[in-house]
Amino acid sequence: MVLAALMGLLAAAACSGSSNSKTPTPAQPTPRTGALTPDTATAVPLSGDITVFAAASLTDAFKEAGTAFRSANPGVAVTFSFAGSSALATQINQGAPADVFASADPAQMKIVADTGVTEAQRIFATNVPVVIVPATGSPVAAFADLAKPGVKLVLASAAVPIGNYARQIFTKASGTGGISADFSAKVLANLQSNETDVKAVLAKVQIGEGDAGVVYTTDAATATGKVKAIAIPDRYNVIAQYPIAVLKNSRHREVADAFEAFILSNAGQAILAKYGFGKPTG
Amino acid sequence: MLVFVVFFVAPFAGLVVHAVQNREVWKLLSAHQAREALWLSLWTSTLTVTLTVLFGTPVAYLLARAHFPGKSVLDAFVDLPIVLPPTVAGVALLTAFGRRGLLGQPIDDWTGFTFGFSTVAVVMAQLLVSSPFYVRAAKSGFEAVDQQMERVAYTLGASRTRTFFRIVLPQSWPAMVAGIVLAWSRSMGELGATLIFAGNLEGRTQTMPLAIIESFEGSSLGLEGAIAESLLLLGVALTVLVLFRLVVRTDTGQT
Amino acid sequence: MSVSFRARRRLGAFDYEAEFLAQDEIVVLFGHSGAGKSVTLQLIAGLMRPDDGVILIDGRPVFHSAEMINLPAQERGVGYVVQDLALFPHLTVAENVSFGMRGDLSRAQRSSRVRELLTRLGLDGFEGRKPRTLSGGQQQRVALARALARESRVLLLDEPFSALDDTLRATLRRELLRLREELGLTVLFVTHDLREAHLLADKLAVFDEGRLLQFGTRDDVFRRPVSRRVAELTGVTNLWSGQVVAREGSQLRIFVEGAIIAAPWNADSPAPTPGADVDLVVRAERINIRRDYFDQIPGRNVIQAEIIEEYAYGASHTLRFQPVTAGPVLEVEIAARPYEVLGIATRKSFTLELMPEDVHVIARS
Repeated sequence: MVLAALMGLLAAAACSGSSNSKTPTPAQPTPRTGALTPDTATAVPLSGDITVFAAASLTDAFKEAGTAFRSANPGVAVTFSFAGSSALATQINQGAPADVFASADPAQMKIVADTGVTEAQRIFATNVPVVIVPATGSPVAAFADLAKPGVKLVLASAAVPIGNYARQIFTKASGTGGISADFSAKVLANLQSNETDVKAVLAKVQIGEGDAGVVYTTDAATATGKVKAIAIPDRYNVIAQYPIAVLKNSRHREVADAFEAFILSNAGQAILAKYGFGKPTG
Repeated sequence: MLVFVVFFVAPFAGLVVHAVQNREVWKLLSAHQAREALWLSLWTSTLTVTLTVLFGTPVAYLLARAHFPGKSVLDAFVDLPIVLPPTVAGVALLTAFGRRGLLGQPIDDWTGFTFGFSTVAVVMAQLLVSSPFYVRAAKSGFEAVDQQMERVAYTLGASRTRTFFRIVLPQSWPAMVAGIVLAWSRSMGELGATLIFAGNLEGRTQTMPLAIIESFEGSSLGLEGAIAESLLLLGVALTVLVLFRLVVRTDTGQT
Repeated sequence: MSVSFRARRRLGAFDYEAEFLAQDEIVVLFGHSGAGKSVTLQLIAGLMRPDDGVILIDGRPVFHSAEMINLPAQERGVGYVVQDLALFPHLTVAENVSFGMRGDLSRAQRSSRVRELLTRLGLDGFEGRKPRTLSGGQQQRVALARALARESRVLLLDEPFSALDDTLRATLRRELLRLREELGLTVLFVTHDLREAHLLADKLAVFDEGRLLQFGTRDDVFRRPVSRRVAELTGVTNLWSGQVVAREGSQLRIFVEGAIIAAPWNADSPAPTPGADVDLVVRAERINIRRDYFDQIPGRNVIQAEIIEEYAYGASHTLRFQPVTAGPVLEVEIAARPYEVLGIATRKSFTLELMPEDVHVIARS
């Protein structure tokens, strides 16, 4: 009996594993939109389960979106997996059963797209990095203070989008035209830890372990009162672009496509805006 | 039974096969990050185990021999980290020793020393999750020694200390060694509590398991790096385990 | 070397209380399991603490509740051998024996002392052996040597021979007696074996349910038990209840199930008055079987009786007699040869003779 269970496990793994061993689902015209769609429910009643891999910063917004999507389509179930986008990309490339991938930067989406498993991707939201400090007692009051010696800085790992963005920002603030020639070096000398996702950075700053961290404004908004946000000067800041794509070997393509469409629709965009995300540019 | 064996061997075989097929991995074995992480893991685990033996042995002996009110409570507390998820242990350490924690704040105010993001925190996290394994094993070892022998030793004029070292220890040391191996292994593999309490910074707090996770999740060395680091850890762990086995065998005179 | 002992302690199942003095002799602590014999040794050795009492070893207090003295076991200077010996399995015989020796002895002194002790106990050349390679009797002797190595002259032995076979026990008992002579030891010996108790005891301490019922010389306890219970514990099989009918000087005449038995009363305490209930104690081996018929013998108790039961134990026989006219059932023990000579196998009726001095009277309170 144990043997049967093991065989079952192996079979399941094999099914969800390789991306090119699956027979294509029967052809069905799927709505592919190039622009934001009106918020009308699709005519065909949808049913099926999908798994959405989404960047950690999308946690609250996507959960609400998922609930709204489900009430509009009672026959579907949506499971979310929130983590650093780089972790999700690795997992998808190792064969994890995702139907939709929403990344916090195009680089991670590219890592997945390069293996040919995604349909066309679309930018569905933008976000702005911000410096956060504990509500009280932090030696950091302004962006430039990050270079002060002795500041305990917490960032996400360099492969995680927000970690990458932060490092880009520090580089932009260095050299001629920046705050100082060695700004980035000084700031990174204060680095105490490379966390696995943006929520971990938020947590460390929130409880006062870190003097400062770099997260998205959407994350800072979830912890008002516990952390203070310090804006990054526009000339140094980068805009985070969030792409979304459906995966080709999704077992419920229609549902996946519908979810993507929902995110891109007015209703979905309204939810994202509510949490502080910006509209997709271009 | 065969299924069980296959289940246990396959993952390690998978690592080795992948490495053999992929040149990249060998190069990455000697990557700076890998070496830093391995060294950190090795010396923190060894320090942790040393502290565990020093402080855990009297506790184990007390639990094995003494009867006092609240003993079962102490017993439960010692066992607690074994059943606790490591992440919970990490959060607990943070609330106690974090910069604004119960003990962490006064210590910071008094000495300016903070535990978070330090190598000390790595050792503390390892201590919390791995010392119960040693204490439990040592306690069993002590309990197995006939207490009559200790009593007779006392009547022969031996102090409690001398009795412990000359009579109890020589008969229970295989159990203690087993506990040491368990505690060391647990320390080497510790991830959750370390990440939450100590953080993740190469050279200072990035132990091997943390390096593997970071590699796996796409930073630095990538998946190949993760495999290389895993192999490294596997090799070191195997070596130490085999060494310990040999030591125990020769001293107990078994074949 | 004396041991003066008085102690009380709450033990859960019952209260323990005992008091006695042992001086250059073997005192046997006798009784059923759990009666308190081992507890006594543990209290003296310092492994258990009395609630109240005074324990002196050679005049030196090792425990004194009023003066708050309680020496730890390490400092009491007694040798202690437990029932399962507790030899240290990872040490050699020599290391076991020398474990308790004083630290200031040189190595040469230690090994010569070890050799001396082992020789004395017949274990020449056993120095390098490990305990698990030794026979039961050899292990016993190592345990004894180890206890003696500290040069303490008080030895506490807790049923040391109970796990051994008869021949070995006999040998070891003799060795113990010899050691006692040679070394001038005071020995407290715990046993539940009556024969062993009789063989070894200079003095006997009878325990029952945590109480010391009687402490005295071996003969005193065996021949003059202070209570029915002591009599029962010491293997008395003739325990009769009767009434005093008359008193003549220091002699009592007692009515027992229809017969009149004469027994002396020692003048130490007031004699029971006529009409008083008493218990009579007669040891089976003290009743004499006469070959010829006697109606009366001056100065003796004479009873005509017939054998009703017989048990042949080899070296001795136990016979139960029913008096022909009236009287209690009498149990008599007789050795094999006299049994043959008297032709008991082929006869049933005999005259039984019992000296008054062999009848012990216990007044009932």
